[in-house]
Amino acid sequence: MSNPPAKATAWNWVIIGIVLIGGLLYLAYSRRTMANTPAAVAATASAKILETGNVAGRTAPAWTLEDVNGKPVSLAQFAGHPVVMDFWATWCGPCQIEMPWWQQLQEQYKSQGLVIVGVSEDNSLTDVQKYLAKNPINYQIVWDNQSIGATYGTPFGLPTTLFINRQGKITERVMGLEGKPELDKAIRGIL
Amino acid sequence: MVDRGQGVGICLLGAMIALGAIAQAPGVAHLQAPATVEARAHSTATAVFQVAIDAGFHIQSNHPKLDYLIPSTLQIAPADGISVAKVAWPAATDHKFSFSSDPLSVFEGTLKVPVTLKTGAAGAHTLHGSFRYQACNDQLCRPPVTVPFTLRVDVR
Repeated sequence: MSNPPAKATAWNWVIIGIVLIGGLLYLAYSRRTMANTPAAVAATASAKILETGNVAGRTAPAWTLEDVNGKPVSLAQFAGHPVVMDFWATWCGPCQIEMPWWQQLQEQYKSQGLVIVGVSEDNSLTDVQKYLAKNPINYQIVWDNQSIGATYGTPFGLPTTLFINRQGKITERVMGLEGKPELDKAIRGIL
Repeated sequence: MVDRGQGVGICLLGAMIALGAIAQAPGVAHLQAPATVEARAHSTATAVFQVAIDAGFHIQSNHPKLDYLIPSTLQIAPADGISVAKVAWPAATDHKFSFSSDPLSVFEGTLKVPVTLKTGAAGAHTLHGSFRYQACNDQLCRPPVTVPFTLRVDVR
């Protein structure tokens, strides 16, 4: 075998360089353009519940938060119950579309033990208190106070909802506004 | 011609460029501050900021119609005798969304925000400021974001 000419070898390196630059720039571009999509979040390798891909079958991590009156509320209190964790905020318009539906669904499935917990992502407890004074809610509201992120991560956007069955396993995570029939169906899946 | 070392260099340069692009924080509204503002001493000058909002998203205007919505703000801390006289937000759009019963006052697309500065003594000054916004689309809302920036003001 004869060695390739030096000129050809040099051109090979140029081509490799161009291909690599192109590939990396494409990767950077696609990362930037995908960065605001739920798919991008799902594609990350983070193990946190709100940031990773498929969470079905995972045990919902324990949490203890406070309601708007400062009373501790923990997930453990609802052991054996189907639980909906709805991450919301007072500044989230789509969340407020769902909230009347959650109230109706809470009432509808109360006899079957359903517990709906609205986890407020507001920075200020006062904002939540003011909001609830104007808009009474018939299900449990807790204030995250940025403490749940250690185990659950940060929701890409609100609303984000977790459906947890009686065994404490997450069956589904829904991001963004859904129709009431879809929420109802997800609830029936954990009863 | 390009030798092996130069080829490796090209690859590394490409990787650095790409990683630099990746390192930019993902966001919905992208602020571009002017590189430098030139001004006369004890006078006024205008710094024009540009905000590019990702397609499909909106941010709340500087005067949202509902009190629980988070307004867009652009603040610059006074320093070296320089302070903000006026932030001239453009006219907002009244937009009806699927989740809102009434139109909301929002910004969409690309907007320019001229900021009038009152200047003090001559010199090269660096001001620190922040742009805060909260973005939504039809389906979801992103958490509020505060973007820090620096602004160089050359006062002569």
